[in-house]
Amino acid sequence: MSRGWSGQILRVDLSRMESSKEDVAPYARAFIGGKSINVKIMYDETDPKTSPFDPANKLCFGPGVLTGTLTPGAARMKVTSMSPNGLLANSGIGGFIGPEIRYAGYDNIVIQGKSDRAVYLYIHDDCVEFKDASHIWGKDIYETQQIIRDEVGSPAKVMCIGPGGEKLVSFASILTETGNAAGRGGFGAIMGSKNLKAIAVRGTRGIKIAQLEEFNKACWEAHKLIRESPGCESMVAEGDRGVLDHFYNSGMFVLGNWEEDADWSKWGRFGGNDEFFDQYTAFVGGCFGCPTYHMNIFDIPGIGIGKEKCVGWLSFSGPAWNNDRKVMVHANYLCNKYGIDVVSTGNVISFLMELRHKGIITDQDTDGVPMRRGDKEAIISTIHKIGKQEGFGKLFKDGVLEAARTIGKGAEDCAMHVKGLEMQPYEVRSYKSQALTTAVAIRDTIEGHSDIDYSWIANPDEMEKWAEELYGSREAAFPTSYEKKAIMDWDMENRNTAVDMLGVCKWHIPWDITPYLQIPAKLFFLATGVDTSEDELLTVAQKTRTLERAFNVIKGIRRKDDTLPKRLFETAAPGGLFKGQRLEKAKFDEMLDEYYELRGWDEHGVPKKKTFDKFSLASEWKVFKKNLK
Amino acid sequence: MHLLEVVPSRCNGCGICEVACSQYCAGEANPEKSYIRVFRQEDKALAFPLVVAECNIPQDLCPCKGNGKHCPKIATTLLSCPVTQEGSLVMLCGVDCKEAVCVKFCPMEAIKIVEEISPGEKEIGLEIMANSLAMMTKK
Repeated sequence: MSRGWSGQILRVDLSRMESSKEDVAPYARAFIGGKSINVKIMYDETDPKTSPFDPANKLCFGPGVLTGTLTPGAARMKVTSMSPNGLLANSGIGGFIGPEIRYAGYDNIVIQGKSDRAVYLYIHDDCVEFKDASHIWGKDIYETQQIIRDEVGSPAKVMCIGPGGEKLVSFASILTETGNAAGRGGFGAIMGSKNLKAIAVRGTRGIKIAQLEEFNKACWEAHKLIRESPGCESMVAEGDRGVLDHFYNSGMFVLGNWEEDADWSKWGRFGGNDEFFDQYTAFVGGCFGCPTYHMNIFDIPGIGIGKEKCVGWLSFSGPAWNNDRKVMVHANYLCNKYGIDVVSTGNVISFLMELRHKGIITDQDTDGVPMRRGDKEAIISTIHKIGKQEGFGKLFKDGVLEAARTIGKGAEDCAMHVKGLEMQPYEVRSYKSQALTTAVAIRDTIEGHSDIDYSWIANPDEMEKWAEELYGSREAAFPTSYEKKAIMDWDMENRNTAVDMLGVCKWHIPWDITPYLQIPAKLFFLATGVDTSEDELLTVAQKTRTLERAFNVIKGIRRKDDTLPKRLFETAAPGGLFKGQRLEKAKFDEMLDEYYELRGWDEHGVPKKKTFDKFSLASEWKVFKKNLK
Repeated sequence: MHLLEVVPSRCNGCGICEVACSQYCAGEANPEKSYIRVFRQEDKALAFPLVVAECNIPQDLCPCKGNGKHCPKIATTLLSCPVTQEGSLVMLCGVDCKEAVCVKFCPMEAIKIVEEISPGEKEIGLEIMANSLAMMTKK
């Protein structure tokens, strides 16, 4: 395993303040890398009775086998742990931290235990230092990054938590020095529960490549392919400029809390796009090794300098009834500062605005701040209150569902969550594949995201061609059709997971450039010397999904949980391109049946023995059977 | 050997030049062994690098003085200072690299080849370096 893989898993025990190294080879043979090794370790080593904030819960960081190499977009890393909602989940993070971990000589990092005082880790190659963090506990993300970089005195990459994670907010995030976030899943709170403020990494050992010359050539071919593709050209030309408009025009956009009375004539038209970007963009950058640098960093007087990504635009626009781009950027900046997830925070704001609109809460319930639809102060105040865990912000420590239960008076019907996690603002009543993938996923729509229906509106010919090649139906590309959506979700989950094992950005492959994995498979082969086909990668992805599901089935997840808030089955999309579209419960159930069948799960959503057998998971089956009793 | 011109304002900090250089010229993916370095411009909110360059200017001649601690040990000769970020920088790469892979892989066209030079013509580069340095220092 001396080529391609770094060769080691770093184990850190915060209770004992000890670290050790383990050979990655036994894991890599069956689970390749990145997310899949994370999931295998969580499955094997976490007792299902463990609660999320128990020191025994593990926190796994998994860059992929190609992370840090010349492969285009080789910047990604998956964070995997038991989420504060008690389920096994994953969240991806970009920037530069994944490559640095690889350069330091590690394929995965597994953290366990709990420190009795605030610490941060400084990993420089072989050396792992536990450093006092009492002086930075309570500092925001930006201050923390700066102090740690100054202290370690080297160009280290840092990921850390903010006050949100320290105070165990269930949707706290982990952020890098470049403002990239492992946002979803609440892993910032898991770090906080371990008294781990940050991880700083400096790596100088590098990654050895099996067939270097061929690998270099193949990397260049891949870079060229991406640069010359129409998808890349538009991204380079537009960056994230077009995101909001695309969502609006494609009918994916959500106004309010998926409410029926949303009046599209007043909200959602976003004029002045170019003027805003031209005036306030300080810098357009990207993650490590990215040919499609598309991240806008804004510098707005009175607000600050910060990055805004697609989910920030989506969460603080329509869902908060807000047309003001400055407010969107400000909200995203503050969420990053406190280290809380923008998607969940946006969801909470929509929820509060609906409750006030319906008279379920009054201004007194929100510390005198009127939660009027679109009110700037309401948006900004909510973020401060949650981040600082003050006043009504405390209500949301355990998420929107728990808050709704506490409020009562019908508030539960307004909590838009799946398995306790706040939903991403996608119009799933129209986009049928997004409805299914959101319902079955552990966290949200991204796990089974496909460009085939998402980009159909912009590029119908190409997307229909892909749909026909992959699923035998051009209609599968239509967002509102149920046709072949189960197989599409199943297939895209597999493709996305396969790429997560390699640590490469999914925007290029399998989303934007091509859904096929021959290029990643070839690069994997040349980097490691292990001859692997697209099919083999997809098989390991399915195996990973089986274990993920098995873990969560042990935690009690069944068919009843693979669903969406009832509002989405009872109401129609109130406006936009697909105005009037409904999600039929009977047809949704058919998709779910088909999806379970493809996954090898029974009608309750429980993986069957023959599925474990199919993926050579004999010992894992024994554990599963024992724990189900 | 290549004489390279770097336009700091075009660099988006992706680091592809470093990893390309290390894979082609040092035999592994390892920015630490790259002959070109991305300097990161870090402030409160972000840490995107703005300048591609590397520097082995003697400390007493370096116009960025206090920032010397960020300058890596390198095998390349930098012909002007990255820290000022003004205009373009000219630098002489000391590596025998046929393709100038940093130029090839940079998606931003932030690095360009000024001219190809042979080891025997290194003096020309050094003269340019002296002139650039004098100009920068005067500023």
